[in-house]
Amino acid sequence: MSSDLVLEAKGIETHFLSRGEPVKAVRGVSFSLARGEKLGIVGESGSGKSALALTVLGLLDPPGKVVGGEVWLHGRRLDLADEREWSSVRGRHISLVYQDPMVALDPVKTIGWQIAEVIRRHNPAIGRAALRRRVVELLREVGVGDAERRADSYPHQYSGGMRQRVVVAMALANDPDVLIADEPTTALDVTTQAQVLDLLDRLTTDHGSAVILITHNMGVVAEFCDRVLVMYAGRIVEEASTSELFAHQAHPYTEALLSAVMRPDQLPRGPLPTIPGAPVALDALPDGCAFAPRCPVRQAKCELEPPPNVELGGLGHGKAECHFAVERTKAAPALPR
Amino acid sequence: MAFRETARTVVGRVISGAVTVLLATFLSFALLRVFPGDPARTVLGSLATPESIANLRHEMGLDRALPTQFWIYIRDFFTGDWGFSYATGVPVRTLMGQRIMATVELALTAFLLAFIPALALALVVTYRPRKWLDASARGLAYIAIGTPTFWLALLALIVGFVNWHILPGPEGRLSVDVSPPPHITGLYLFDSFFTGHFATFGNAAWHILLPALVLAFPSFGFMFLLLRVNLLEVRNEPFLLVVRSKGVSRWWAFVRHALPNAFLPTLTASGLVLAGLLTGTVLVEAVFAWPGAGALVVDSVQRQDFAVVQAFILLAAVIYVVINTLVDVLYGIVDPRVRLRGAGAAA
Amino acid sequence: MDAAEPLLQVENMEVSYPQPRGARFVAAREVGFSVRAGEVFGLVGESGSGKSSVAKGLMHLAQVSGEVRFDGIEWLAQRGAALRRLRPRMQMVFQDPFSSLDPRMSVHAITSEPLDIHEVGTRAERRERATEMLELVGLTPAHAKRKPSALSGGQRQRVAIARALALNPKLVVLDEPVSALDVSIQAQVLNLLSDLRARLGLTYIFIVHDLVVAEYFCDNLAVMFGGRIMEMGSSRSIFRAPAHPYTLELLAAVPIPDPSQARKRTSLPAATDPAAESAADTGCPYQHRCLLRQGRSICGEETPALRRRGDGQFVACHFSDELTGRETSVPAVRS
Repeated sequence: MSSDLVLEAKGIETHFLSRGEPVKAVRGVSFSLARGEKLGIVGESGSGKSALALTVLGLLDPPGKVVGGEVWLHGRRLDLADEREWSSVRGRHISLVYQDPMVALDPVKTIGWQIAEVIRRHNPAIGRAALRRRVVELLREVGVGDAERRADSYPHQYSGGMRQRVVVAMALANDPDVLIADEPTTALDVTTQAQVLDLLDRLTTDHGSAVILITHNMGVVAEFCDRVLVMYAGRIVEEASTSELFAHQAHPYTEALLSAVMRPDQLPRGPLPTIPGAPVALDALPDGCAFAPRCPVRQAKCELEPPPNVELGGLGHGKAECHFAVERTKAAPALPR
Repeated sequence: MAFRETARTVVGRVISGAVTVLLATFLSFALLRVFPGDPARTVLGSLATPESIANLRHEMGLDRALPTQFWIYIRDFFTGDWGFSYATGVPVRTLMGQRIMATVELALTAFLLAFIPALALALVVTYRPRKWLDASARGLAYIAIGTPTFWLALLALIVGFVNWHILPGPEGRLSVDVSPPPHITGLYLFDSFFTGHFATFGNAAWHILLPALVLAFPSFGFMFLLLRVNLLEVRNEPFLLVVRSKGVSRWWAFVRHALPNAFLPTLTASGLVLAGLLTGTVLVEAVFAWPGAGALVVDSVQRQDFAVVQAFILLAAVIYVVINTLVDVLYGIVDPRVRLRGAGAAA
Repeated sequence: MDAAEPLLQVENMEVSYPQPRGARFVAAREVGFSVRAGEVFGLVGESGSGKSSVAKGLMHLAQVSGEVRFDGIEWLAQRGAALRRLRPRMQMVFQDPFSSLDPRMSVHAITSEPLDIHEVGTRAERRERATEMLELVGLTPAHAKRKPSALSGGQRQRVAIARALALNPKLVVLDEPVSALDVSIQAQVLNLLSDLRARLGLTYIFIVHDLVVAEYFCDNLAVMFGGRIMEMGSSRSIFRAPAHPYTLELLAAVPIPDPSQARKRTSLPAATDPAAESAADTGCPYQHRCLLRQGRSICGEETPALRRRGDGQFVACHFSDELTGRETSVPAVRS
């Protein structure tokens, strides 16, 4: 992996202010992204993953507020930037693939106009003919048939899968360094999911973009991502390469999450393993470990002290935030390497 | 394919519109005939003999069955004969013609004075929402809707003319010593401006200002509230997030994406507002002595001049129907989701 | 009704929706299947396949024709008051836990509403039954007082289930009940559904687009595409040896949560246009995407009928035999 870091986040703290206690959606998250890397962020609702994405894009609006941390894009500090600087960066160096293609496009503008918008924004001098050519080229690249004619159609004339392709086209139009895909396939059928993921995989490699893929689908993670971050209650509870993570889970939440996922080739019999309880309320966090109330292996310590972030590199794994990370990792069978 | 569909819709609307007009006219026709007071007597005066009254009644067709009278009236109306004013003997159509452009000018000016500030205020309030600003604007809008027009007109006159002397009194469209501009459209502002009579233009503008503002006020409140709601709704749509993720500035995203989408539902309401303004100038014209159709109708009602009142009602119905149909057709053209029934996503 | 007769027998069902100017959009046609009491029958397919329409048809929520025999009754012939009296026997849980509950009603009111509508027992009895139902799905009286917006997605879906069970139905139609939920909550709700089925002797029709969930949860299932059934049979045999190319496509598309098995997919056809597909009303609805067709014309001319195979499975394909013996890319054996 190239040591060229494209994106770095340090200690991000994002809160949503409300009348009572603020909802602490992201509580001290740090990670880095290398050039061309495909990073997965896994989490369920309430994990803070979408808030993190918005923070990194600078798109957080009130009542959301970034209360701490730094965001560095290619060595350029962005968290202190004003709106003008942010908007020159968005769509050009860092872009978004939104989760629901049915509502991601302006219903009263043609597809071609909307793709052209992102190109024009960052290339104001481009001529009309060149712009048109580029738009059609992009549509072809993402696999929209009859591109020349379809560029003049409206979103409601496209199916969900095709709309998502358009969203991908808009995101990749200016060869961004980082592409953030927030649950890009959740709203799609499984067959379309596969197509869109393949598309994302191929094109980001072609364009040289790094990807942050936010999802709750472990199958997608296994197929697409090089490295994975697992989020729970606003923190990264585990970080490892994909193969490491699936071979052994240092954090009990990751383990529970994986076991709740059904594998077509290893279907369980009888009741499914579940994580008892419900995701923690982010405005009433307990002392100690946020996962403790639901953790199958919790001890008294866990409810009192917040767990440290343990480096497990020496054991062939990434990092995990658990009091027993080391013991769990040592006890695991030998990792394939 | 789409054209045939549109044509079919338009024809359907025209037919239902015609039915509406006929119904409205018939209702008013019947009601007017029910009132005490004999038009023939009004025309001939109180000293007329019973025979001459009976003769005139026969001539006017007042002794025939109601539905027959109605049919004759409708038939005549659409061939240009709107009857004669009982009070003045002048053909109704002539009377209306003289007056109608004054009303149109007043209504159109009022529409602009309502719409533009409503839009501006709605944009300001929704772009960066601030509680106090929003509450004050809404409060103003509610007051605007609830204020009775004639009361406001009188108040405006008293304050603007009697107390402060900055605005003209109830003397109509121009000062007494100013002559109207050469006739092109009948709209003084337009005619004077485009024929170079700028002094006349100034005078006409000065005169139209107060009545138009008064007339506009309730519509302003209504349009502001509507625009505000639509803008707020659109602002929260996900596609705006995607637009901003492309690097588009907040302002541009708002104006180029949010506003057009918020505009569509406002379009149909605007039609209603315009129609309402055109037919609702009556009280304002009365207060400001504005020589429009509304003032004519007020006078006619007082003089029991049914012919004029009847014509006005029919005209009002036609105006409403025409404007609403036009607005609906326009909507169908402007909104691509209606204009082009596309493949769409699978159900 | 004797023990051997299936609880639900559907034959030649067609579900359609009226369109402007008298046209009709046929969402599902020639649908036939049977469901035994206590069974879980799955309807699998992507959006537009017609699976939700079949559910709506069964519930008399769409224009439906055909022969449906439910609990010994000619189901589609029922109307008006007679239908209303029979409705408690077949209830439905809808897909979206966010929009299928009235946001202005308390959870308790939502659960007792069906009882109120059908005037079951006294008011006190209804209140008690509602509370009972909520307990059954794992919700407390504290939850009962709240409005749906105060509950999580999983909890809302539990409310929907409680509501569906209030009238003691024999058959529950579940339209994608877990698709909108987080993975860990999905597991909880599926376990709950299994548990309830065993305890209350329910029969389920389970509509889902996730093939893996279908295989786990359903005894028998029908795979639908373009409004028709493509393949039908026990879920085990369908996954072990799919007989229809569409089933293969579905299986191939499922991402496996195991990086060592993550396969690089064979290239699938480019973005297909549903409009072009639906325009071709003749022949097999799957013809435009089918890897088995290889230009053969019969697929475009003749709609394959659903034929029963020797092993009890049903397939609608002209060239299904070319698939049998072919190895599936997923060794779908239950361990």
